[in-house]
Amino acid sequence: MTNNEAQALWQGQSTEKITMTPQDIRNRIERLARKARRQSYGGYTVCLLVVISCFWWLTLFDDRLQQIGSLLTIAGIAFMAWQIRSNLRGQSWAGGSAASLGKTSAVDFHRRQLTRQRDFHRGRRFWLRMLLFVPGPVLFLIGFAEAHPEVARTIRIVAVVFALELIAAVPLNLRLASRYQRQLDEIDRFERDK
Amino acid sequence: MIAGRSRQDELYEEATAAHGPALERLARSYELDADKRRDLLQEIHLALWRSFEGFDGDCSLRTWIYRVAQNVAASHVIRHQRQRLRPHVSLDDIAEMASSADGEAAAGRQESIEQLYALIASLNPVEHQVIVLYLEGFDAAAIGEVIGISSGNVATRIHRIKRILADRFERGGRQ
Repeated sequence: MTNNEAQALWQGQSTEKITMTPQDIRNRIERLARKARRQSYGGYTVCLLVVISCFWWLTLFDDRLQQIGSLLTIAGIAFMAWQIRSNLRGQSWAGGSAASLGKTSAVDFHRRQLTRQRDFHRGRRFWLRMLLFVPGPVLFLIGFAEAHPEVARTIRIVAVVFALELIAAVPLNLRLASRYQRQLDEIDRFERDK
Repeated sequence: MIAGRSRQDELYEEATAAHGPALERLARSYELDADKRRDLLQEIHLALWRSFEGFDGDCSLRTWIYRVAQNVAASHVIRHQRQRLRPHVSLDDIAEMASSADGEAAAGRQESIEQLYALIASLNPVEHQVIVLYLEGFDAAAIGEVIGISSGNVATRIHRIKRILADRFERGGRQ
């Protein structure tokens, strides 16, 4: 088979034609916007319920360390949720202007997406997420162990599990980051290679 | 505002009339699962229509359409990357595999097309874009404009693609 035949074979495939009129598209965008609004309201409601529950939870503890630990945990989770949300938005073209899709070359666009992913899993953003997430549970556990010495053994087990989870998260994230980095290197090589 | 809208609609209709089937082939090259492919294709159409609001004629309509489509598809690939089990390979790796493999016959048109898709799906993202545009009949300069690399670089890749296609399908055809 010659290359022209390969092109003819490719272009001659039967395609399942998708027919969308501009009006269909407007309706669909409208539906998507409504769905996004509903999801946002749902998310805000859940956040509100979580915050209310957390403050109620705070009133259960007299111990200062447990209270500070709980507040820091809430702050850490909120920060993590915000980072994940902004990362998801960045992954989608809908997060930026649609016109930029036509103005950006495929290589630049791909590089930008991969860089965003890589930085989510390593570097400042990743360590900041970890740093903000750790102190809350640690303080809470110390406070809890001090207030309830009779369950100190259980607390130690919980602390070890928490530490193991954190330790496991580091190589997992770094592995993902290096996978994105490899793809970025591939793009660089591609641009250099002639 | 109304004039802007109608221009946007006109451009979209022109784009889908001229490149609708090619956009479907492009989506198929990125997503083999039929349901996800339909979603991807709809996402491309939506992005295309929205993008025309900002089309300023700095590049040709065709370049614009394929940049939008390739960029939406790239987002789709990155979103689903964690589900991907097999790593990407380069054109050089494929050339090696083709010359060392015992060669499966590409008997019949459908089988050849499937083989083509398997080849494309295994490539790294940029080479994936090059081969799809090449198969759509773009020349090196036009591919370079969509992808954002020099036409010399594209020409080198096309040369390798041609060799791989000739080798793979010629051997398949002989068996």
